[in-house]
Amino acid sequence: MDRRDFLKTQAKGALLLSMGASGLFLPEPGIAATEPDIAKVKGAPAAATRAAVELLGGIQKFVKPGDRVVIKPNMSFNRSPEQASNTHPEVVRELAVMCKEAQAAKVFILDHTLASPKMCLLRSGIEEACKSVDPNMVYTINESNLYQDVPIPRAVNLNQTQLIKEVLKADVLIAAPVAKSHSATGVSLSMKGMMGLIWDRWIMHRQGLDETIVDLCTVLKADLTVIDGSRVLSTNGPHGPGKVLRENTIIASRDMVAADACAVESFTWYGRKYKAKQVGHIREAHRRKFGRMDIDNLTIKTVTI
Amino acid sequence: MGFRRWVQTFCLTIFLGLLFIASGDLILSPAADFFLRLDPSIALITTISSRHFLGGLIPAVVIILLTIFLGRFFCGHICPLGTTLDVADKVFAVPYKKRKNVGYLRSLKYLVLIALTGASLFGVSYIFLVSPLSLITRFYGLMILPAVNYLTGGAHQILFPLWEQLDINALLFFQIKSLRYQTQFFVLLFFTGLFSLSRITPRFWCRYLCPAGALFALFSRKPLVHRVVSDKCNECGKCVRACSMGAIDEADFLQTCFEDCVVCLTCEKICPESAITFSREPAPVQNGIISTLPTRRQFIVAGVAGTSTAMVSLTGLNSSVGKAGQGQVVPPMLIRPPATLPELDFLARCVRCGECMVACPTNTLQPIWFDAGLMGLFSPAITPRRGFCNPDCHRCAEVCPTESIRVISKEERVWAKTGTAMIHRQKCLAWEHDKKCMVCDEVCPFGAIEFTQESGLSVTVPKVKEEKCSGCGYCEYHCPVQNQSAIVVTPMNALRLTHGSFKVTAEQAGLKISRKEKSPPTYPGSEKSDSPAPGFDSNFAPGFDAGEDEKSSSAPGFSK
Repeated sequence: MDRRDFLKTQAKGALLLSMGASGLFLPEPGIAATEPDIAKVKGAPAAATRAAVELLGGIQKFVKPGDRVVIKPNMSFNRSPEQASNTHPEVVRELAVMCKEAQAAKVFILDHTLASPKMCLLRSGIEEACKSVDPNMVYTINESNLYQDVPIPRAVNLNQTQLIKEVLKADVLIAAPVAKSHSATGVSLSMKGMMGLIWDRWIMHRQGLDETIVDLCTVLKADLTVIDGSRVLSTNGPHGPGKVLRENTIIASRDMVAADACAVESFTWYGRKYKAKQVGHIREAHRRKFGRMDIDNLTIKTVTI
Repeated sequence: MGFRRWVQTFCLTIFLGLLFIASGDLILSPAADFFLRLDPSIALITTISSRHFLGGLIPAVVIILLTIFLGRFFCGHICPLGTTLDVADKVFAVPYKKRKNVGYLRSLKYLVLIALTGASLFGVSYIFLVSPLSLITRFYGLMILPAVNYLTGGAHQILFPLWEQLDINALLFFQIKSLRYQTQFFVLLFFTGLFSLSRITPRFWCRYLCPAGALFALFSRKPLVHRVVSDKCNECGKCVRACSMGAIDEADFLQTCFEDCVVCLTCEKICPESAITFSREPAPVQNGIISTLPTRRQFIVAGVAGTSTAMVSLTGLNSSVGKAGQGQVVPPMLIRPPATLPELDFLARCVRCGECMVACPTNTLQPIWFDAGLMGLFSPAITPRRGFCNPDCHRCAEVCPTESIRVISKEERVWAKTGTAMIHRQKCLAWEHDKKCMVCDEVCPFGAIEFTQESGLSVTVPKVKEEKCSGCGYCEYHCPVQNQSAIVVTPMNALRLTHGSFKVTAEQAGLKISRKEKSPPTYPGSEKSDSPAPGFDSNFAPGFDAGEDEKSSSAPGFSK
């Protein structure tokens, strides 16, 4: 199923949802009982990434041979890996390697950068790190003609957007954000990170970030979310520089909301602990049954390697 | 194709190649401005108007020295404008017999040069209106290149289904910089006019108007190597008709006006009797040099015209003559590129060639119209809504032929403040509409946006820390408020230094521009870890809240 079909299914789903608007059912937790809803691994970035995905059943569960995969990291800022504004290059690289191992036909690492594309590619270290996997896989998409208008059928606020054309074609979408604070939305994790795959993100600020982030995620629902908490930008995010916590943690889940919620509650933000429900867009996503933030009711497997 | 055509093609290709390389942001071409530095009119006028001899302009002196021996070879072989006009002449020129006799205009180019010199004596440079290299750089760089990019982008778009079929990554993600420029209508009209003049005579510009041509002409009145006609000449007149410069005396074919001869060697090539050679031998018939120099009266009139134009310019309301400070009426939003010289020095040097605008990776540098008066016409300005000014980039300085933008070290570059951002609170999503935004903070490379919480507002709001702001315009470029951004860069406290260190000056002025530091967050809780939230709203880190959906159930006037 490519993303186009996915969108159609989503439209049908929206109908269904509106029929049963009372919404008694929350999304079912993990498909197989043996696999946890959330995998949380402590260790070196690459190894922990691999282990976390293994805990969820391995990359083969997500990527089938011949699939086109888009990985969405954070590489929007002219900052070095230790400043934690961008995803750790080794996390991105390991994901790309795993997708290749699962015989993905194409793997792309895409972002619509805020700072100069050239500097982002250079300073984030992601381009360099992925060169050995495939020299033609990391792209910053900063020209509007590579985006395509797409309706958002399940939107409550943002009825349409423009997605990178390749994302529309992709069979698998992997969110690979770094864990960081955000001065407007509290945190910037997998859901917020999807704003890097669209052309006009500014309309979301005008219309209300919390609702529109969830709207956007209904068409950009990651099949796999891997949050890079190897370093956490705990203050002054998303750009920094700010306080960087060395957490050496990777959090993975099939559920973007659960992964984000787990990241919020796993780390400290501005020196304090917060509950996932204190983040507007996570709360909104949970309320709209897009995913679950009640991680206390989910199975979390924590491993240290 | 003869030798000369090869040379012309070669030189134009190099010129366009350098321009094209300058426009990409992959590698920097240190010779991007090479052709501009060959233009003696730029060298002369800029040296006088800026009271400063620039080493970078020595190539123009070399060309002048060669001209003494070889005549106006530059015009016939090297000049990209000359070559372009030759192409236009091929298309538009009329047969010899239909040409109008405008020989009386021959001294006009000298008058142009004299007027420019007159103005430059008062420190006013109008060379940008007529310098051939400046004009041709703008023609190709600001008009042709964007059009080519536009068409290439369009073609890529149309062929996109094909790329999808081929599934080659480089084609799928091919991105061409979309370029837009202000004032290219001037370039369009100017060149339309210039090409139209082919209907009067070929190379009208080079014959009658070009100030660089005038300078060359002054030095080529008796060139060492020149046209010599032997007695084999049967006066068929073929050479007269073929001469694109009209440099052969129509009454006496043996005579050549060396001031106008561009050594194209066409006459030598087409002479059926092989009577014409270019050599050091003296011409067999010599009735003295044909001179097209202006009369004394014309000289004086042109000089006065130039100086009076300078006077009018300097006494214009927007002229920045005199000391900066009270009484200066400066355009409120004019932001110059980083490390631009003080305004008056800058205007005396900048030749408006547009190299900086071609080289600018974000397209933020734009030529302006009359915002800064006639003197500031076509000068570069940062336009943050179009693009930010990357603090790691200083290509504009590197390609500037006249050092109007100072070349400074990477460390210094960050301190070359171009202005200060200012928030229009009534337009701001956070301040006025209580919406989560903070994009300005998100994108600021210098941590110059402080976020605070204000009573009556549920979201964090931005404030500019003036001493940390470098005026790069990231905030204005990215501000989600449409059309007029809610945060704008103003020229306030821009550093414009003729010499000395930007860093030292900035630090002395109390500036703290740094990409490594950011003020510690002013949020309650940041100092005490793990303590429970003591209250609502104001006690959460930015973006966090109490964790409840806001429900205002009570109607106005009723209590909950």
